[in-house]
Amino acid sequence: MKKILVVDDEAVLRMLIVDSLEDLGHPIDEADNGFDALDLINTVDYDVILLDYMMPGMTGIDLLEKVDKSLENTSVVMLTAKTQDKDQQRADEAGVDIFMKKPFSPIELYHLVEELTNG
Amino acid sequence: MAERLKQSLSIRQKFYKMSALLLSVFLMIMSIGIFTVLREQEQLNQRFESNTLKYDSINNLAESVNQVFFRARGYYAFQDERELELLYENLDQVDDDLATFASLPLNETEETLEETLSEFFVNYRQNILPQALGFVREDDYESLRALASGGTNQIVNEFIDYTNEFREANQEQRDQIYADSMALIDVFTTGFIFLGIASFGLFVLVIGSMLKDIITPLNNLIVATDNLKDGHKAYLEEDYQLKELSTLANSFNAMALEVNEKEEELTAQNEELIAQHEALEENQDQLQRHLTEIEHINKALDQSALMCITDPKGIMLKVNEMFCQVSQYAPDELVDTPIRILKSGHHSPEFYDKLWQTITKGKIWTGKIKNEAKDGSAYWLDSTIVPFLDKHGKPYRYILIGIDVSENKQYELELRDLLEETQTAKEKTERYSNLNKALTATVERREFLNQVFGYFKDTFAFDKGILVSMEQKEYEMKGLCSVRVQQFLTNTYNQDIVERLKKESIFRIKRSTQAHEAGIAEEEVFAYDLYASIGNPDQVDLVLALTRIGHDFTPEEMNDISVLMGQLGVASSRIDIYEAVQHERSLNESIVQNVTEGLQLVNLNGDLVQSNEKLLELIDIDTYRSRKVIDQEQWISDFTARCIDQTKTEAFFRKAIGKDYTAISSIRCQMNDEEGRHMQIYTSPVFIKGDKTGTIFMYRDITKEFEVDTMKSELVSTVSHELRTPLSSVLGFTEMLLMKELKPEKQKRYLETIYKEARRLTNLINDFLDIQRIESGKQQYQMADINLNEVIMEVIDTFKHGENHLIYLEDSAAHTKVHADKDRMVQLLTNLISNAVKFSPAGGKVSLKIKNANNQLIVSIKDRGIGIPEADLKTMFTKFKRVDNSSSKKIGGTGLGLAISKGIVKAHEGDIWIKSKENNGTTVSFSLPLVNEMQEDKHAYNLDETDQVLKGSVLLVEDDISLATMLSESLKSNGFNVIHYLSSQNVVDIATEQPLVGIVVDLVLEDGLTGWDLIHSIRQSSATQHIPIVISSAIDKSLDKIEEYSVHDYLVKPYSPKKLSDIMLKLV
Repeated sequence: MKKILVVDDEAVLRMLIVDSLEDLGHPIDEADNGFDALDLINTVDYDVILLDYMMPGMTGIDLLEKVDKSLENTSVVMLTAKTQDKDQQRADEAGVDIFMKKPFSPIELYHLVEELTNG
Repeated sequence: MAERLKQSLSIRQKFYKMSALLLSVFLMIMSIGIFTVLREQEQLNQRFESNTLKYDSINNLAESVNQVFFRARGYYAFQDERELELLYENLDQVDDDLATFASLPLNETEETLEETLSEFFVNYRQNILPQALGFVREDDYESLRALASGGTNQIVNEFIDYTNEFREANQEQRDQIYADSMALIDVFTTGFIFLGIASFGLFVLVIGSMLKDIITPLNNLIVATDNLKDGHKAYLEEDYQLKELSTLANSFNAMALEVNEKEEELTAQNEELIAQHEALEENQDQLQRHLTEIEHINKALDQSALMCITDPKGIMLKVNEMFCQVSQYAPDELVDTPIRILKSGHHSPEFYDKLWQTITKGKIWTGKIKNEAKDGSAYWLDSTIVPFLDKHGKPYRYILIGIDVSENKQYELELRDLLEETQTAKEKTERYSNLNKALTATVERREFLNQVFGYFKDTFAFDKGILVSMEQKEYEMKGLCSVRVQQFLTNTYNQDIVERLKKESIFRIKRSTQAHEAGIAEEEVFAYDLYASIGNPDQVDLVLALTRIGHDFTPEEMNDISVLMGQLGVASSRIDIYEAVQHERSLNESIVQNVTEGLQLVNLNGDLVQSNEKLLELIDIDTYRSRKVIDQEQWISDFTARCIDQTKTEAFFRKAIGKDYTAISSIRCQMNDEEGRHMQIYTSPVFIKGDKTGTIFMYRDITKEFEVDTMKSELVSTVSHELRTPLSSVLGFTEMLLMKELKPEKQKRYLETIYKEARRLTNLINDFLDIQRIESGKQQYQMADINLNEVIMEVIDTFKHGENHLIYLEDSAAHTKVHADKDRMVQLLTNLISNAVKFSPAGGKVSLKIKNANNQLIVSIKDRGIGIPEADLKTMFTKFKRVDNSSSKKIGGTGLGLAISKGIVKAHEGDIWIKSKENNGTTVSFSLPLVNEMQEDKHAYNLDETDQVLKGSVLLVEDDISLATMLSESLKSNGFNVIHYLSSQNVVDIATEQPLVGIVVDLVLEDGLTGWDLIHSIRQSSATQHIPIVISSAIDKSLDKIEEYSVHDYLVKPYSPKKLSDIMLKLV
């Protein structure tokens, strides 16, 4: 069993992500803001984190910079509507492994997470 | 003074008087002193004597008493009768002594003692002694001792004690008296010594004063005598105290006076003698000198001058050799001949009259006379004519002395002519050179005209004249009135002349003078007008017009003027060119200075040559304002220091100023000042005839553009983000639906979500397009005068089907007409009301209030919802601004509503603002200017809400908006505040909101309850059951129910709104 965390401020999108991954059978935690997500990441060792870029109060990048522990064994997937090159660059620098643009395909996401959790 | 003299005394008298005074004072003091001494001595003696007397008598008494007891005891012991006898003798002695003692002045103690003693001795003699004697005789010593101790002894002892005391006291008194007398002696000795000294002092003083009276006058006498001796005046003060001295002074004064007088007389006589002597000597000398002089003069005259003596009538009596020689007459031809034969006719008769007038008055005449010689040739005499006067002051001879100056006179005349000529030539040259200067150097047209006209004035005398530059309407003139000048300038008067001038550059007109020109001349006078111009056949530029009265212009003058005008033409066109250049230059300069870009010109060496105002603003270093050339290194370092990316800027500058760099290029840089402005710097080479001569740099402030750019890209990024989020949902869920097997309820949920998100997307796009249109000013507004309260009610009506919000309108605005686009107003109100509804998710009231203030209509929308944190209030109207908290997140929205609202309000020249407290509701207000059609109704118009005398509030439950508006107009104009509620739901809640005058209910409402149910609910609630209800209905009255619910009044539609107002007014 692998642990997955979904961080997005839009409830509808969280629902979409969770529903599209439910067939993988992994437990999925949700957070609707960066602060709650930070607490969860610091206490639980997740295998995959699906992270939104633009969130009120704390962006996904801010969140990654604030994490205390090493995320070497965690795959961080950034799902974002921010699509410019410089945004992607910043995400790479902050330690994002995969950059996924919104709108995204739930099927593609399913396959991506499946791959990440199998490896 | 005589009186004073009487008062003065002789020296001897004075001496006697003083001595007598001194002696009497001395004697008086001495006698007073001695008398006092004697009296004191007497008193002391008396005191001493009385003391001695008392002492003696007491001593005697004591002695006698002792003797008595001594004898008595002797007798008691030996019973010797002799003793007894002596006892009785002594007793008698005691009595005597007592008597003596009593006769002395006694004090109280002594008197008591004396009485006691007397009594005792009487008793003693009569009782005790016989008793004692009896005991002795009976030999009864026992009884005797008892008797003795019975008191006898006590009294005796007391007395003895007293005597002893007295003796001691008496001794002290005497010592005292002795000491007093000794002290007295000391006082008197001191007194007498002092008296002696005082007397001596007084004596010295008196003698001194007397001596002063003598010595001062004597000294004065010495001084006066010395003065007299030295020959000064001497006078002595005669008022002395001593008679002899006064007399002496008097005699001295008399003597001194006499001596003085004598001396003065002598001196005067002496001086006179000396003066006479000197005068004599001088006279003699003078005479001698005069004689010699006369001799010399005579000789000199004879040799060098012409001399002639005439009688008073001018008949020559004597002439000298020179006179004959010059006049070429023989002496006998001249003697006895009138002098007038020499007249040359050169001088006027007045000249000779003047001459004769002078000399007949006895005065000397000098001057130059031109005479004629015998051969007719003229000669000039520099002559002096001296009259000799008789004793009546009348001339009896004239002597003429003259020097032949014919040759001198000739030269003088020639010289003068020459000088005058030179002067004229010089002035002419000067004027001409000035003119030349003016022609070549003056660039100011006015100055040029002035100089040239001045030259004309100086050179060609004329009466009137003007020099006009026709195009510039500038002129210089002389002797012309301003009306004439104006005529000349406006070309009305001189059209013919100008036409002629176009063909002939100079011409002259002779004409008869006008009356004012001719002046006092009697015969006909002509005026000569000269016109000259420069220009060409098409246009006349500079026109010269001169007028001479009675004096023509000569051909030479015409020629001169013609030549001059030619020169003026050249100069004038030079000025034209100069002015054109100047104009061009100032135009260029002002273009350069006023362009909004900073400009900078750098020469080929790279030094800064010129910079404009705008650039100076950017650089703001004082040295740049002085317009000096600034060294290459200096300006580059100054300029780059202003930029953030300095290396890039410096490289750009260095490259651009390179001699071979001819490209046009630009860079952007941000300045490091507070504002952080963004500049675009362009460079362009400057070419003259194909060679690079410098470089221009242009600085353009692109901060605005830069900001707009940044904003645009941010906006694009935000919009793309906002669009992608709902798109993700739509695409994602659609994909799920398509690709996965799903339970029906999940399918439905997905479809619902897709629908919702698609709606969101549409709203977002609509809002985005709206804001885009509004902000870019492309939004078309269909402006019209509308009643905003009606619009508000219409918008409220659309919210009627909402879940649990009570929306009502409180209208206290006397005027509600605004000039606005109704659709946009609906959009604005819908935005604001839906915000209020959205952000009060728990339901509750949303109240809209409208009121008038400052000629504006103010609309407030108030909710009791979640509110806005203070920190966010400022940015509420910016695009895509949403409050970042979880509760607002749930509510959603595009984040453009308030920005659109603001855009709409601003487009209507209104204002919008927001007040809020977190968790305590939000009030958004906006204001719109009122339509000014009701200006005359100023009273109500300018009233603020607080000023209005509100009679109270009326709740109007009516969903027919046009009727509600009509009723509310009437109610408001009667001072009521109207609360509109368009629904039948929860009327009680609204009615308890504030105290009401009455409730107006429509019986037929579209939604929910019927009118009667509504009234029922109002009457059910304790808070509202007392409020008067007025029914407004198209249905006929139902009397039962009216009574049941105690309805106040029943108005059947249609009715006049005034009726309702009247009912309400009665209720107040």
